[in-house]
Amino acid sequence: MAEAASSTIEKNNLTLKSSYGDEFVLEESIAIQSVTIKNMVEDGCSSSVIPLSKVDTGTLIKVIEYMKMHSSTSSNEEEIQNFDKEFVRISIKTILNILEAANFLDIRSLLDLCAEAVANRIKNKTPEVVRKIFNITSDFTPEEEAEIRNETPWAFEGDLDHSLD
Amino acid sequence: MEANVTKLFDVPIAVSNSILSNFKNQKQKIVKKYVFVKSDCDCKRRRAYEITIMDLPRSIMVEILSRLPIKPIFRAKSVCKRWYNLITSDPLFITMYQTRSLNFPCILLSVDCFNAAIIELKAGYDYYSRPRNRPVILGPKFHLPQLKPKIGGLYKPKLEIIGSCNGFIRLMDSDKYDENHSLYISNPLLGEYFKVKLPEYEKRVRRVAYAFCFSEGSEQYKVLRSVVRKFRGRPEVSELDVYILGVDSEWRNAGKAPYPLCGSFHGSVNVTGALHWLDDENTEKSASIYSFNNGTEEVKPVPAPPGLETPSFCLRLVELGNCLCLSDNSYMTHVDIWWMKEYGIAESWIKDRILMDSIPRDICDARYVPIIIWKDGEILMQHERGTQLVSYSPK
Repeated sequence: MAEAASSTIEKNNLTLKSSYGDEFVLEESIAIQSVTIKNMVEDGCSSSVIPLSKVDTGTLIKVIEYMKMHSSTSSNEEEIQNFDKEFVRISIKTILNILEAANFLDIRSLLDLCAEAVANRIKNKTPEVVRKIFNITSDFTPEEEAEIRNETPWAFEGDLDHSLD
Repeated sequence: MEANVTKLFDVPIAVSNSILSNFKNQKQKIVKKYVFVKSDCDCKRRRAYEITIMDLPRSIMVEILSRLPIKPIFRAKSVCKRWYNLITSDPLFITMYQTRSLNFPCILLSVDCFNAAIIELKAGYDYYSRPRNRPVILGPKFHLPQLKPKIGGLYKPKLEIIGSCNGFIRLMDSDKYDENHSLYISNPLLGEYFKVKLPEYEKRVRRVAYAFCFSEGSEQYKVLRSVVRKFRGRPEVSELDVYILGVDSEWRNAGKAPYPLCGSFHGSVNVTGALHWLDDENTEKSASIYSFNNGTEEVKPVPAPPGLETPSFCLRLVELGNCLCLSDNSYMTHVDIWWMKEYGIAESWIKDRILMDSIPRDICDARYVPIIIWKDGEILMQHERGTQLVSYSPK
């Protein structure tokens, strides 16, 4: 087992390649927070570059930033919490990209963080604004929509957020 | 411990602690108004090159939507057909909502039999935001079975809530002694309900009590019915009948209960895969607790706190943070909460005493029963006769 032997000498590094072709070298111990990568390493297909054809460079940088922070032994719980809070202060579109990458790479905690963040951003918004944010065109007829609203009018009352961010 | 109690609101409360979620893979026909055909091109994208939420796999969309509190979920239903279908009929959504709904506990308030409201309590992830635990009142009219007044009009139709499990509530209309009573299982979140088929009325039946549980192993919801029949010259016996929702077409006998079951069976508590109730038949002696294993359907005694002498009518079984608890309301000055820290171990019962003298005078009364414990240890208590809620912080 060549891999097992080398890991005892020095830290194993992996190379991750984004969909744009950019390569990032990362310690194996950090990268295996991704279950997908961990499985690849265990199957012995990590000797060369790991191509991540579904993850663009910008997203991969964010994912690596997250994995580095969360595998660091020097940071305490509070620091990680603050990091997470700052980490999702980005556009919803970027969060959606990270969500897709987290899903593909199978990083549960990152997926939770991003899904929670998106839910938090849209929870006080009107359906019209939610559609705008996500580029959704309503496919209900006006009558159908009115009927759904009339079933639970209280859900549409109160102080709703009309802003787009 | 000093009780730091905040009065939240003052409305009559009939029932507590319903965590909203849904049945999984139920085959039972559920009343529903819309059924849309699922299609990926349901919601058109405006610009093809931009990633939108519609490009994401269904599982991610569900991850996001299932994290919404109730009001936004109802709004999300009106965004597009795909979301409507995800929320109302996707089994994945239902499972996820169930697993994370602890962040949004809900309690059900009934002002009277015609007016009920679900309120959602925000305890969630952000403890530092004020005001804390502010309830969101979700309107008085959510979906409940429409009851028709009886012919003759002597009695108004009355809906009683007799239990909840994974967010499903079990409702009964009219009196259980009435031969025409019916039983409903309702998911107030999705606005769906269905009527449970009851066995035919028998003249010999003296007492009926119902309970409701979920078996994790088989992922089945079971309705339990205890029936006491009258036979001259023979002691009363409680027969247990089981009906598995979506599977059984008939009720099936599951043996006898250790004594004739009565009222406390209605308030039975689901903890660690078993249903628990207090023996309220023998009010002289101290508490006996019995359990019904949701999977094996075995009835077993569970040890009560050793040496506890409070008569069982002053005790109430509750579930707090997945721990079986006994609330002792026999004193005027305080409420004792007993926690069975290790399930099934008599010696593991631990007592917390909550002094009532710090509650404002106008609502002071020791008849508060704990219903929910938050992640930070704060306990929400509900007045026994259902008029008030107070929040208790052990710090």
